[in-house]
Amino acid sequence: MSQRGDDGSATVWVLTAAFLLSAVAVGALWAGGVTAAHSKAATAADLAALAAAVKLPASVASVCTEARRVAERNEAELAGCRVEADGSVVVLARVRVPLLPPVVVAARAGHAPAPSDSSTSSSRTAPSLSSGSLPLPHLGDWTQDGHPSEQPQSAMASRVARSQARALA
Amino acid sequence: MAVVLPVLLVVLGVALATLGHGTTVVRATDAARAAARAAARGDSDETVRAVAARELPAEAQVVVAHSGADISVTVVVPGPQVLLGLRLPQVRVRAVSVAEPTVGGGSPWG
Repeated sequence: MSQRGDDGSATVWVLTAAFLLSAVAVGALWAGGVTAAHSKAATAADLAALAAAVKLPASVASVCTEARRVAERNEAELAGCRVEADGSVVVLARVRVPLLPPVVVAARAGHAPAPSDSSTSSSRTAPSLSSGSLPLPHLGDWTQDGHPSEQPQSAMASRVARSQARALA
Repeated sequence: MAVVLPVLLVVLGVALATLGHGTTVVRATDAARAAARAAARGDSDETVRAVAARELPAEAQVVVAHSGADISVTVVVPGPQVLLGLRLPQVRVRAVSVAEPTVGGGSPWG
């Protein structure tokens, strides 16, 4: 008698385990898809913003056409593009995820604001870039946005200043 | 039981492999982006490949291609092994950047 009772309990455990594992598998697929889409959108936004900032100062149309072209070559759509008053470009790149809202990432590129009011120093700073956020649970945020740590802004700015000084001499 | 347990193991394997695959995609994308940005700055193809390779497993391939001012960096990483030599599909990621104009004609990084 007791053996018969045990047969049924094993099935319950197996079904529970199957359900939990399936949930884990679906969760892994979902998180992986969103994270990959976020990474791709961040790449497209970064590179499109940098390419667009190179066009500055030009008309908003030509700057944003370049941003769209580069975003699309990076397999993302241009979700927004504007030229700020401080002369930087903000680009929003969108990547679609099946069954989920699209992931949109923003990036800004342009000349860094001068540390003081001196207008000469602003021409000797490197283009800066910062990235935006994910309007979803922050699954992608363990990846690093913006400048890699091995290319700090200060180091790049000083390299640019030195090379420009050399070129203008 | 005899049928269900192997199925459960396969599901578990797929879940773990998917996580690994996602990690690989993100690493490859980040490496391609870093390399594309290096290329846009005017770094040599050699340096660009080194930038990408720094964040990738040794068996990854990095291809740098120029087309006009556009520079495309393609990263191919073999898929992780699941079981008994069975591999997931390879990860192929491309990032395209535009070369920034150089100051005074030559490379600004001299």
